[in-house]
Amino acid sequence: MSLIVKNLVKKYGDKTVVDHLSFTMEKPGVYALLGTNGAGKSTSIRMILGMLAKDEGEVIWEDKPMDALNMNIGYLAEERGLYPKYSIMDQLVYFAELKGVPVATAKERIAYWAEKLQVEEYLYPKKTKNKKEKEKTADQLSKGNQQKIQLMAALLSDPNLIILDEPLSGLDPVNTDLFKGIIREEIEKGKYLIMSSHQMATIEEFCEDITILNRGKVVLQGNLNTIKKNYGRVNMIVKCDEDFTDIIEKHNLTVVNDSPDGTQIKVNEEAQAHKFLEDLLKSGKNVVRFELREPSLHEIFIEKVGDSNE
Amino acid sequence: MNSSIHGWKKVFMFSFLQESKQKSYHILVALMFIIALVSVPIMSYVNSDEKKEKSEETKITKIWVYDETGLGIDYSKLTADEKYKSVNVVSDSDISYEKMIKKLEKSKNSTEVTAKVAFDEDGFFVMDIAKSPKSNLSIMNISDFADDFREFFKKEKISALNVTEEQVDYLTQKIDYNILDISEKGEIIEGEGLNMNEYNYVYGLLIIATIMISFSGQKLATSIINEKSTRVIEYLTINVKPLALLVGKLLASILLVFIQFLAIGIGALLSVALNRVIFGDEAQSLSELLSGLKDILAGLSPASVLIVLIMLLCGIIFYDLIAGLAGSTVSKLEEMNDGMTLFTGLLIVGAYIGIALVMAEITGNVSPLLKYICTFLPISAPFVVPGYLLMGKISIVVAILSLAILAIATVFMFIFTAKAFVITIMYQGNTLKFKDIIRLLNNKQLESEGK
Repeated sequence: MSLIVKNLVKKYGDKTVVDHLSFTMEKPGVYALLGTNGAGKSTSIRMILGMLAKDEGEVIWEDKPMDALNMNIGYLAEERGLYPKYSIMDQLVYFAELKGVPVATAKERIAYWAEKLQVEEYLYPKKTKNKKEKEKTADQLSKGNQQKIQLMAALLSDPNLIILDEPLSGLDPVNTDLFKGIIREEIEKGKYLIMSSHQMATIEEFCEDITILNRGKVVLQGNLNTIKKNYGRVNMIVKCDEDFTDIIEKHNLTVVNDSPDGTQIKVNEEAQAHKFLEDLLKSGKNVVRFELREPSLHEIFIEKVGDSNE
Repeated sequence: MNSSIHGWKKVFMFSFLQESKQKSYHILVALMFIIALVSVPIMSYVNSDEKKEKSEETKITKIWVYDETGLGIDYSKLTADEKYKSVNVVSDSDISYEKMIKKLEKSKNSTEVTAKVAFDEDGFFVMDIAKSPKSNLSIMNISDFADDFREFFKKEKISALNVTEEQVDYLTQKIDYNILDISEKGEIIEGEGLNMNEYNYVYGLLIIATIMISFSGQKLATSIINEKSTRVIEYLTINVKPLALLVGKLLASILLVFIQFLAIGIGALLSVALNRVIFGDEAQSLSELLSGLKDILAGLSPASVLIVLIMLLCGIIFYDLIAGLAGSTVSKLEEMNDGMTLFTGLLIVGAYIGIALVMAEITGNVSPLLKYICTFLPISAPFVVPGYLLMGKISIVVAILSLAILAIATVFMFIFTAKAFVITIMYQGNTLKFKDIIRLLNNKQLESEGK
């Protein structure tokens, strides 16, 4: 099983909103599409799903052109969509039925996910002695709970390919962890996930391969570890009891950030950092912290996208 | 085609069940049912009340008659009528008419009236009935008296010409008329024009068709706009094709509207039974309450009823396709009115063509050409044909021809809508105009896109 996205192009008039996007998922896991707002992530996802016509390019799933209508895809849209006035249970059963899931199976899966996502109270009205509580409608739920219902809808058909467009946006820390747990579970089941997010820490947690889009163009692509390795350990964090500005000036280095936790300094290569540490120790200053690490995805993202968006 | 609408049944079932579960729908159906249920007893009550009032003794106590015709009519004969037996009729008063008017003007709680009969400038009879502004008499009392006084005068003016009572009855008998045409073969056939009763029924059916089409179209468009504005559409379109959504929703809207009107029908039938329960032996039948109904029912054939039902269904589908397409051009519920201009515009034009035709029929001659245009034009046919066919004003052949034209127009509309809907349903942005749809269909970019 594999997903190949080849040269996707989308134009609106003279403006190219997605410019030759290509990537491949040869094995299960999570692929991340990153970019600022309006970078073309959601447009790319819509083209992959066949919701939006492509101007160029193709999407191949299992060696055949992808046809979302005839395959099992789970999709969580960026802009959440539920019928505000209809019962939540009815909506979920309907969405599952549209995917060809029998009603009984759909109800079993709803029960499973409702427990996992802690939304049982909204799906199963309480029965008291005299009367049964009214079924809850989507407009009676908080934004976070609506998001949980949407995620349920995406997973009810037990899809092989799951596309999550900003799955964690607007969630509180507790629910973020809940969602992360479910994503982890789906990875363990061997599913193919495409995820777009602004939360770089989450992407680092789950994704092996990434594409960073900027104004429709691919600005960085590949395996996250390789990308980081290629950058090298160029982030140095130093904390001393004494002032060490003189050493920084001597080595002609740039301070990225200065906080009580330490001073973050950018170096060009690891050898430069080693030389700096040597001089620091020779000067007799008491070094409390010294750390040399690869740049975070956040830093890479800012470097690649930040300047052009200023 | 089959694969394009695959999944429509699920869409239909869900749309129908969810909409029929809505409180607003229950209230509307219940309201329509109740109105239909009480309609016959209310009509019966109003009718019996009018009859009772007409036969009851008048509240007028004194009538001052001023006859300037010189026909020498004996107005005291008016008291021979049971209604006027206690009334003091004065026709030889010394007080002049003008003084009497002034006197009445000042009197309070008066139950007296003046009745002046004279010739107008053209030599026609004219009657002036007057009462005090502070009179206890109602307009109903006065108009009732005016009707009786006119009938009395009509008879007495003939009697004054030394005509026997029998001859008077003969001369004043009610005269019915039929409007007939002469066919090309020289045979006398029933005229195609509408009489007042037929006009009422045709107009009523036209209004019913308008309400059904409007309800169904609005329901369908709202449902589509709702899915677009809540972005549910994104989830739906990866599971079913847009055409399946349109077909499923369209059929659900039609069924919901038919249920509403079925409730009215059941309500009306129960209303007749309720009328019997309330009024017992005095209850008037439906044909007594609705004049001409007996003749219409007698003239109905199963074929014409079937054609009318198919015509209505076809008309609803035709307009629903327009409403569905119009709905798909709107991305926000608050912009619904803008997007629905095409649908409401055509609906108004179609219905008004029908209304104009029936009104023209009652007020003057309508050229057969105009009538046929209205009958065959797809936007007006659903409003005109049902009433005209049921009243026997167009032949079954003409109705079938009209139905065939409407069916062909509906198929073309379906093909056009199917092509456009696939594109417009995923469009998010400003409400699309008709020219925008054409541009999108021609694979051209919209001016608003990409900005």
